[in-house]
Amino acid sequence: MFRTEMMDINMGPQHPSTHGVLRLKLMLDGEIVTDTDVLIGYLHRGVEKLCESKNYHMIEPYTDRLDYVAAMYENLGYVETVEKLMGITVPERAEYIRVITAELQRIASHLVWLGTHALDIGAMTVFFYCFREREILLDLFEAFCGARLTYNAYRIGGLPWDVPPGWTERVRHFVKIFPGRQQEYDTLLTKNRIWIGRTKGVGILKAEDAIDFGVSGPCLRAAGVSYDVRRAHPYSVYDRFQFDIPTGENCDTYDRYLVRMEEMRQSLRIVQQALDGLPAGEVMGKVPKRIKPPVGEVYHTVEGPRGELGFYIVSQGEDKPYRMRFRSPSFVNLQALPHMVKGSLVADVVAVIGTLDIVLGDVDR
Amino acid sequence: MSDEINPPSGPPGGPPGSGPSPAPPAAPPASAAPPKPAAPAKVNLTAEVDSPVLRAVKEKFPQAIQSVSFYAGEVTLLLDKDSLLPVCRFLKEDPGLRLDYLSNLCGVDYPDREKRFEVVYHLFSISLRHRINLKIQLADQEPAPSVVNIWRTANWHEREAFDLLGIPFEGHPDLRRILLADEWQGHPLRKEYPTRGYDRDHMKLR
Repeated sequence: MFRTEMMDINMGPQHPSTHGVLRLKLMLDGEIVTDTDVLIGYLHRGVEKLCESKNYHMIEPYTDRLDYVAAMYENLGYVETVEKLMGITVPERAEYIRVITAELQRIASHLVWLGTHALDIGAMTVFFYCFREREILLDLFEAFCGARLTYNAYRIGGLPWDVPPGWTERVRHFVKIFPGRQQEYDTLLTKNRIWIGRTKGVGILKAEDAIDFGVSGPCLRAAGVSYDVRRAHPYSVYDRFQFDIPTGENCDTYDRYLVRMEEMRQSLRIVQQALDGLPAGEVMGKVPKRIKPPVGEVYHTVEGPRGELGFYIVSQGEDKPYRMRFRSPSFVNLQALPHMVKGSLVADVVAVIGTLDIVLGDVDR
Repeated sequence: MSDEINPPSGPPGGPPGSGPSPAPPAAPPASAAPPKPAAPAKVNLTAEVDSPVLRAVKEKFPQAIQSVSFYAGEVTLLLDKDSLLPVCRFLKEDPGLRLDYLSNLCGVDYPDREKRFEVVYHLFSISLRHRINLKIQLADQEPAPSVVNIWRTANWHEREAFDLLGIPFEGHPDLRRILLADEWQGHPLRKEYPTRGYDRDHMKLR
């Protein structure tokens, strides 16, 4: 007598396409995923707890280790939250340099996403191309702050250093050459039949579901919702730059790819404008040596490469935060994964993990 | 656009680190000069701000609000625990408010208080772009009403608050630990939980 039965398959935590230590329990009906349980926490380091015993300056290096692919944004969001908590004004030049480095970081982060996402689906060349350009960016970051991944690049109230001599010219050079390089990825993927076959109609996340799941960033914009914190709640000096917010229509993996590709172009536009308008002057504002915010609490968000990056700090008037909470976009976006892969093939799970662009350090904190 | 940005950099070849005397170029915009004399204390961080959401909740649920606080332009309402769900549902479904995006949910531990836990909800409206923060207070082991049925994103946030602080959520579909192992003892974000130490008793897994 012929019969079928459901099968539980474990995927991860050691699996090359889970981008770290993500573990999925897939319930399969043949090749079809009927249910998924997402098991996380393998990289949990208790950063929120640690922050409660560190003073405000000592916390910034910890934020690097959350989303280590886009650490500039963790730094940016953190220092801006403390500045908001204390009402500190940052010098113009520092704000511009923050915007330049942050937008370059967005490009670097999207390059990692594109390379690994394409590699997961089977396009190997893109990976090498992406990392070639990312290398230029990491060299720029290294020249700026001395580190390639964990930057600790900003300080509460401004920047620790001005940019080194010749740095802006190197950034200008990158801005000049990058569109041509991006064209190469475009040629490899955008009209590639295999790429389209693997991404079109895969991992559909409709707008109302995305909002309900709290999904933000490119995954939300690919569903047609034009929500970008840089526009909705302009922080730093983002209200002075012209840029478009790309949105998708089909809510699928292919649209998310297009949205991120366009975001890289828009980031380049912002970098160009910030370089043109870069004012002279100080890079560090007037900040007390001992950071002691008044009693109060703030929630501040910035638009990271993965979405809305939130920081919630409760201050009791001491030099340490009473409670520190990181609202990481990877954690929230990952929650939508079971919904996105339900009814699809196992191979598509890999594509969906890639398109969500999670960083496990950010998920587990 | 760039016309507005250019003026401060009037002297194009101006050396970046020109020392602490930017008095002449800092005249045109209100940018680099003001922060120097202005002490941080002059900013009134707790100034009241007008909020349409606050007005609407005050009108509809006058008895639900225990207190209102303002900080750095944010409005936080401390709500009665029992009225949390009706207020949340109203905030999400009212066409004039549409707070459809639960940006963040987390717990805070105040062991000295009679009701030691606070659960904080950071809400945002994607279409109308306004924010509001809600809070409820709970005693130890007192369950909080789960908002999963209103915003599905609350699922993992509530599991995390349960995991790290031990706050039970009533009506949660799948309340189990999320970041720590299932066999973990204790709740690390509680204030009495040690941050360091070689005593590994609290880390015992089985």
